Amino acid sequence: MSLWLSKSAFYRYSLKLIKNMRELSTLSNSDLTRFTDGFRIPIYRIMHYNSTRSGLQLDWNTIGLSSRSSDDLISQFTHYEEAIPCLSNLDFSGASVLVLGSSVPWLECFLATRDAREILTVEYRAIRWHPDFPRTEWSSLTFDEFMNSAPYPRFDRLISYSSVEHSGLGRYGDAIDPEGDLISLLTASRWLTPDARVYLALPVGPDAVLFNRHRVYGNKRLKLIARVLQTPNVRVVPPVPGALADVPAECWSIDYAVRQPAPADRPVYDRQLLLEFIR
Amino acid sequence: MTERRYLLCRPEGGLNDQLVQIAKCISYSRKHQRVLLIDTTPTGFGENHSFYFTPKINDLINDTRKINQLLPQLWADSQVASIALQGTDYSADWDERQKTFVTSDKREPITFNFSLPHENKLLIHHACGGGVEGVDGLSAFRLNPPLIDLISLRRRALPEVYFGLHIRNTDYKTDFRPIFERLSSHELFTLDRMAIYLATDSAEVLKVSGKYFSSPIFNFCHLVEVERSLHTTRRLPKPVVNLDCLADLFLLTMAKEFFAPKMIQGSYSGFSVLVHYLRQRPDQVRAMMTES
Repeated sequence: MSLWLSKSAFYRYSLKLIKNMRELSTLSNSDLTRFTDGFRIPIYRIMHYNSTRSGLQLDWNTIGLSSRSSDDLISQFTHYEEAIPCLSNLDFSGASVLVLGSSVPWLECFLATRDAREILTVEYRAIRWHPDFPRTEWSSLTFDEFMNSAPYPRFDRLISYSSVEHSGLGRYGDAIDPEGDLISLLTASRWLTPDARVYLALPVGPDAVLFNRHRVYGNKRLKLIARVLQTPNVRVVPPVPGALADVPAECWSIDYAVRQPAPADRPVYDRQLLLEFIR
Repeated sequence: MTERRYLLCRPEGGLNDQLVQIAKCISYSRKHQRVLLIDTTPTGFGENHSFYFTPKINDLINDTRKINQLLPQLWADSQVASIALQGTDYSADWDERQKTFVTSDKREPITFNFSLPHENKLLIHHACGGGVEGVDGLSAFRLNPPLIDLISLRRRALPEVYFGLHIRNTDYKTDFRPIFERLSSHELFTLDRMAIYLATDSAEVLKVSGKYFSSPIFNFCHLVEVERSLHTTRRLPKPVVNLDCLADLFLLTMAKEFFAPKMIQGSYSGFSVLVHYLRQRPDQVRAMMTES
């Protein structure tokens, strides 16, 4: 006998089953006014109900990635074709790297192929993994462990690829928190050395919250991130020359990305821009 | 050249208690020309003080990392005999009989007589205790820019005019239902569209408040059902508790009116007292919320 749930029954079931998952209409006044910066930025309902289907613990031992994987193979696990071309511009050799948010270890493997010395992955879910990295020491903390740990400022790189924008929206079972992204980054900044480099790949565009999918970072929120990290300057890390030839060079600028869209004369490229926050 | 002498302050208790102890140590260290070391990492605050505050006065160090570089050379000449003998850092417990913090092993009080000068290179004051001087302890610092931004963000999420209300209801309890009853019929709370910022450590208080007030009620804290005070609970991470606590302090200070009832024990909460006195110093609030 098979059991079929209607779509709406499945959604109701998800909302009950997944800790902290909420419908937009059930947010309190307090949450709503903070998500929208006092109703200054829009919030849209775009719900994702099954993002924690991989369970509350991640087992990476079964994923076919290692420090010997080629960039092409790693790229297949990224969901973002611009990720490897952008990251290839950067130097991680001998670096101690803090990775915020990771559901598949493509970034960790990429960093190991670039000879990072140490990687600490912070993720909402506990991770089981025994990587075979010859020159890279890898460890992980759950987000709760990370928030409860006394920070030890030893990391000279912070990378978060498509993660911070989800913080506090409840999609991954995390608690609803309108400032979740800022508090995560503020806490992470305390683990960084004074001259550390910070790289965040974020959806960039006019400020908005697509609840519970992710936030979109425009001038307002990007400025706040820069202030929280105490990094006054932000730049876009463009891809290596020759990659992503269909996207014109001007697209790789914050100015272009956060300008209000004018569809008639301005094509919108759906790219996860890699931003460097510079001290 | 005279050798520098130090006063290590490890303040315990809630925010007001901590600030009262800091104020006491600032006053003593000024009078006796000591460098003041404020170390909140091993206390109820649980984090490096310098993550949140920048000192405005000289001879005050509040960065645990810098303090930890100094202390190994100082322990052996501290006024607490067992710490001096051991020559290393200590662990502390609350001693109910002596009503003070003591060393875990020898049960020796970790404080000194503030009315006397002392010769030791290091004086240690590891204590709690409230009062009305908390606001003086706060005046020695500026808030760090990220904290200013996060508080401003919360302020912007509130209407231009709102009332502040503080109800403590975890380890210390408040009989809040009759208070809500009385306040809800008060002419100020029946004003059209007047918002209330309800600062509380209790999820229950927040839940119940909606039944009494027709005005919109705001609370921006991370609340869990706890029977312990927020500064001792382990159910919320310290960065979250400390940010919420400091943000609430300034949001209540910036409210048009502020209400705080007495607790069942018959006294006002230390946090309410701190808000009350800080509201009388708008220049201090402005200075703290402005970057240098």
